[in-house]
Amino acid sequence: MKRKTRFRYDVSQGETVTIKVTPIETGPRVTAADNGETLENSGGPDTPTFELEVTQVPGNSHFVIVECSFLDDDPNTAHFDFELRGSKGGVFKDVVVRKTNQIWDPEFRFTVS
Amino acid sequence: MVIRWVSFKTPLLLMTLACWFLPAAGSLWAQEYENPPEVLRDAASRGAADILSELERGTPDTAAAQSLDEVWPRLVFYTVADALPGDDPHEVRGLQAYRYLAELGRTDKQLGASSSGPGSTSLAEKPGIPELLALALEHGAIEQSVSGTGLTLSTSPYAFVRVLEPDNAANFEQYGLWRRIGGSVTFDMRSEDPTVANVDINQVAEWSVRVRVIGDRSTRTRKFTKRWSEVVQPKIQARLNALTKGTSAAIDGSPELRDAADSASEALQGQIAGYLQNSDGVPREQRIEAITALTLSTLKTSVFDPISESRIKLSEETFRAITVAMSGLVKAHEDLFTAQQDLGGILDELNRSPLLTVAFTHHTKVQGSAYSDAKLLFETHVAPFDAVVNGFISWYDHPDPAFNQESVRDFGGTVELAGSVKNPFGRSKKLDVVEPILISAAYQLSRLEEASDAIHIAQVKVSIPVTTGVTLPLSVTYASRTDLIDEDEVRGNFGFSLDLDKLYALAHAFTGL
Repeated sequence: MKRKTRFRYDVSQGETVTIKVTPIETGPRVTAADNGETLENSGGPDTPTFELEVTQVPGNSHFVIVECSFLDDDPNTAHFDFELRGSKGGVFKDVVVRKTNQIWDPEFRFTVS
Repeated sequence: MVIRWVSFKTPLLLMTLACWFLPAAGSLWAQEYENPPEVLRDAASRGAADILSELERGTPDTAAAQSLDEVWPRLVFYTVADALPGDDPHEVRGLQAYRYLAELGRTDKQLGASSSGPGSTSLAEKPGIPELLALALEHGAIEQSVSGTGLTLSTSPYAFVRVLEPDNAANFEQYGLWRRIGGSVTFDMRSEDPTVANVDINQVAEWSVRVRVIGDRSTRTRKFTKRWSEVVQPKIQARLNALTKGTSAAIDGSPELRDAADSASEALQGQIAGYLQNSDGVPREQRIEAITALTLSTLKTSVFDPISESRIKLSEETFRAITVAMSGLVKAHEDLFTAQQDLGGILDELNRSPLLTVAFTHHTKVQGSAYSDAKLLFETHVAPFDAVVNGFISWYDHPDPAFNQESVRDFGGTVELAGSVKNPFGRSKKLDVVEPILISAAYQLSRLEEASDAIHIAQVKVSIPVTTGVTLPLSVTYASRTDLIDEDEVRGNFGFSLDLDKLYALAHAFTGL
């Protein structure tokens, strides 16, 4: 998996992409979808983890939205740390969804190269 | 829950600004996206705000501008739906801006002083322990003859654990014991009574330690997360499924459109980076408006016009997929409005779960002798009321025989029943959910040993949330006597409580733009 931007990646057909989300100062309330399909949490109760297998044809993409649900009583410093990992290489850990962000449901695009 | 968007009151000014900062982008500004769908405009302005937030955190201009990618696919989807012929895709114009679900206010946190502290308006104490520093400033008095203004600071040892360990979900469970312990210090902020002999320079009126024995009302517990997953998450999931289906159909449905959208995105990010470089010092809100307008203009030029003018043609299959996705999204947005109520319901469940706390408080009296007390605080829900039951005993540190004081000062118990009614304040939109007005009635029976007398106190209290984070408590209290004067009295009290977490959230909602 190669990065184009923090929200866009090039992947290979058959590669497995793992998105691990660690909640800090908030609860593990995370929901994800990939091209219209539900992504199930395959991690434990404390660290939501989502896996998708790259099945699209070259040129097309997997559009994945991960919504992090904050609540009012979470402190302003609450955030979710993301780790994106490709089974054929590439680990990226600098995506953070903060309570102070305006977007709590970023969209990732994994394009088949 | 929050809703934030940018209004475009001054497009001419924005165009002037853009031409000043972006001479190369002047042609784009000529293509203003007039009256874009609300959901599109909202998403674009949120994306713009996040770009600025990245910049403010020290991210370089170019990298900050790349944050646009977190919303770009949905912006393209909304624009394509807006540009397609026919009524079905145009459902996008009926979509309101998406609002993230968030928690309503909690009322179980004892933010003010304990019921005998200076300036307290509480008769019965609630057993919740604020995990974050909380501050309440109240004015008035209930059980004392001396009025005062109290400043209470509360915290939990878990706050110190968080200094050493990341405050993630695993540690939240592992160090759950520390969350059960809470402490507070109340300062008398107006110690002007010249008869007060033992007020120290720090003006500490009382300090308290609490241990929660039964119950946990945190929204971070696994139990609450499980309920949230059962009740609320399916509705969030439906929206995400519809949205990703729509973005996939819109962008990958036509290689021509995909290329156009990708090229536009790349060019736009460069323009935004240039604008960020050249607009240092421009007010934040203006920068957000400028980036939002530039984004919408790019979408108009690169996506809307080519589709509406049939320069890019979408297949029947793509058209259907976008239509289906948009219908699903409309339905999901409608369901999410009910999810707000669902969330309120499970928060009510949480707030009504039994809670038992043991508390020790030391009172540095502003008048009379210092004393300590131990309390058993229990709160539960007995439909339709919330019930709070306190039992207490207090003793003097150094009983003064001259005042007929013995070791035990007093003992007794309190029962409070509370209910709620609709709040007419704080609702600016029909869909806003406001905290209800709380009404409570309480009765306390205690025996004051030095007077060899029973004290009856009855109180009716109304807590009115006037706006986010600010509550106005009003109360009327009858006491058969006070601890100093053997005369019955009726007293009215008022004050206000501040919830800093909510005020920070409110400030963010306004300054996030």
